[in-house]
Amino acid sequence: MKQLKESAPVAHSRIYALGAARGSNIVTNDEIAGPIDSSDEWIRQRTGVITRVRAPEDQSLMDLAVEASKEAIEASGIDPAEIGAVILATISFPYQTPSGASLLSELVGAHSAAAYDISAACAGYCYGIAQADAMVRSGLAKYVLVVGAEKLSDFLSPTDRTISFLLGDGAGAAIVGPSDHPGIAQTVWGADGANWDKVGMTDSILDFRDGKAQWPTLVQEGQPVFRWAVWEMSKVAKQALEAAGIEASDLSALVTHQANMRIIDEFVKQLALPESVVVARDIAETGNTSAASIPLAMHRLLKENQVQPGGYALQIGFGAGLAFAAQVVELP
Amino acid sequence: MKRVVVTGIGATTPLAGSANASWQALLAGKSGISTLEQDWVAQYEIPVTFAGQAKISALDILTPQEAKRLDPSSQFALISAREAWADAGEPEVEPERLAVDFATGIGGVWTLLDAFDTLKERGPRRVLPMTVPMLMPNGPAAAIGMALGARAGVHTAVSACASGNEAIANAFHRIQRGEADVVVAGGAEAAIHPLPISAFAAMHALSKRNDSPEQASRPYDTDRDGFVMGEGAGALVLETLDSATARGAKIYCEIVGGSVTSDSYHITAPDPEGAGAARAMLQALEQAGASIEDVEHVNAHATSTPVGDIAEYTAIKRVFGSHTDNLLVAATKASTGHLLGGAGAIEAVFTIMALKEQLVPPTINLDNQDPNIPLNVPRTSMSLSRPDAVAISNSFGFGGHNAVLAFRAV
Amino acid sequence: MAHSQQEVLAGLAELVNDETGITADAVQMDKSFTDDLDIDSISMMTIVVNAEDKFGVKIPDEEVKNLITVADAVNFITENQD
Repeated sequence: MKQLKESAPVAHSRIYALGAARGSNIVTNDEIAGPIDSSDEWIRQRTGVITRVRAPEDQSLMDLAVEASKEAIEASGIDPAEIGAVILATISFPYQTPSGASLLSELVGAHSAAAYDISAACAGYCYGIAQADAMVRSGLAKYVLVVGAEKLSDFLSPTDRTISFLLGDGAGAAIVGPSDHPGIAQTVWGADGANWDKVGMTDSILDFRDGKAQWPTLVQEGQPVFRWAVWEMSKVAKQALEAAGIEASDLSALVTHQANMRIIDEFVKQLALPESVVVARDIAETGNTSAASIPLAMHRLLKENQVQPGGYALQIGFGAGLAFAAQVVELP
Repeated sequence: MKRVVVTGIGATTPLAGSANASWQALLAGKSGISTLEQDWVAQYEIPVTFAGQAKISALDILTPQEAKRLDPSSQFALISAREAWADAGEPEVEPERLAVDFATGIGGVWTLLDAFDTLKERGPRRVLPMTVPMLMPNGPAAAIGMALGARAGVHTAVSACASGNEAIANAFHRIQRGEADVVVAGGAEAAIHPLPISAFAAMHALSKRNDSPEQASRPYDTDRDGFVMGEGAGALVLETLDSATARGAKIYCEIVGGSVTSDSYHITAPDPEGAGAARAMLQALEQAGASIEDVEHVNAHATSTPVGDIAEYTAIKRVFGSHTDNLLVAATKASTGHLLGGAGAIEAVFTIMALKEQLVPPTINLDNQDPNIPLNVPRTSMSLSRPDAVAISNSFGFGGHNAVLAFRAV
Repeated sequence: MAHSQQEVLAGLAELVNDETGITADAVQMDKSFTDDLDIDSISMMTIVVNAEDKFGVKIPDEEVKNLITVADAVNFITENQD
């Protein structure tokens, strides 16, 4: 019987370039504190957020995704027609189907690409990078466009004290392709479905259809999620370092999902990060943009020359699911 | 049974000269441990050359005449008790309803050993008349009793490193039984002296990290190698809830449990099964009418010894089971060192502040947590989630003494 | 080396001040230790031990009860120092 042919593997993969797009409105704590009976001081102290970016009505999730993708494609120097897969990580694209990725691939000229959305909340981008790495090295796709894009402001309640005030709108994109040296280490990932109910939507769209609920918005049980992020995710971060075969001191940067500054502070201590490692703290100005938060934060570190291309960054995403994924990557 | 609350706190520690300043320094991740500069270190070739010395010298606070008549342990005791008393607003209480429960591990060891030197070098007539009052272990408690006019009984619990907690537990029950309405409770120690240091070192109990003192006290870390001696005192004013509310006193929190058990296992090593320690924790919670799920914060005994830290973990796991993962544990000896008879008292102060500010203090020096001790130990200050959270503070002493206090936020 | 009565008084006043906080000029010859200066027995004993050291005298225990006023002490010390 004839042997089946498989895709031709490639030795290594890396991130070629990043792109970023943030909602064009900058919203201060004072502007949103009233309805949640809070204050600028409390928000800063408890979460580290000073401002969050929000997209106005005429700036859609797709607009943000396209802007970020085009920057990444151009910076990578590749022909978008050679993109083999477009992965859009998002929880706020407002259609059940078709996927946002299929429209995005058309808009950026990735005419030959497979396209699909992944729903893995704040772990979405790292899930996407894990998949892109696998696709490139297995030979399934030559280049992969991974985008984390969110317009969370469409799904939040101004009076929700649990999460809404943290959230922002934005998109971050990465081009992943073949490499002559390892640029993406083994991903450590998973999901803790036992805690499915700890962060998510207030209701399903069926409840909304049937008039049983208001427009579904984002909500979380703050304390259990915070504790899970701090204890369990710092373990995952250490596992990702081990999987990559490096120590914390080998890192140039730590880029965590930008959920809460206090989680980031505890991470830094739990990992015993030396002072030399730059820690991404984009949440202060951008807020929590779920799947977009990691690429936006990494893009900013590079743009501001806080880190140099070629160094190693540990990126770790974690959120609703509770889903998580972490990998060490070479900075593009 | 009467409800008992904390209306005043005081402390003089290696971190700072007051309760609040010590708490702030703790939150800021400071270390109170430093190299000893005294001549006797080199003179006797003491193997451990660092300790947690009181940040503010007692001689800077007391008048020379007061200081002269008190052993350093009593000096610390008096300073911390006066601070707590003032903090409580100097309650107006009949002397016959005011008691003192103040502990020490060894009491006036400096006075004792200095007097022996005087005897040997200059003969018996040069031994000062105040020597006995100064060396006696009830000295600290008596000094406080006299300063505040306490006539309902002045007591000194002595159970090594569990002394401070035992004193506070006794005070709690004393008020519950109706023997006193207000009790000043706590513990003190001033044993940073060549002999105790050499003696602890001879048992291999002390860390030998002479070249980096601030990193030496490292509870739960894989590289921990023994405890670091500390000196100072902590004091609480405990009173009935009725008395506190009647006079509009500021209430820090409620004290809801104080339990003492014993291991009867080994004179210095804790029972590795943690049965006695576990019983003490459970009894404290029983007294508190609290379930294990009500407990959010544990101020652990955690002295930074290889064996002790694990034994306590075993006991905690026995008590809390899967809820152990929800506990926020602080090992504050990382910052202060081990104040021996004073440890339980200053740790009670820290536990009370944690409940009052709804904030668990960070544990420093925890670079590589021992994988056999998978407790959740925040390295940054972390919020408690329940306004009625229960916190416990553990102290275990040589001799197999287990003393656990339980507090509830109000 | 022998001290004059004035020196002994000054020295004694210093010891009293050290031990009790009473100011040196309150320590006058005609003052009674217990009644006027309010010095308790144990402080008195400490002052005696320190005085023995300071002035090189031996103050036997039976003698202490005779030292009622400052003058009694000053005179005893002045007369018995070596």
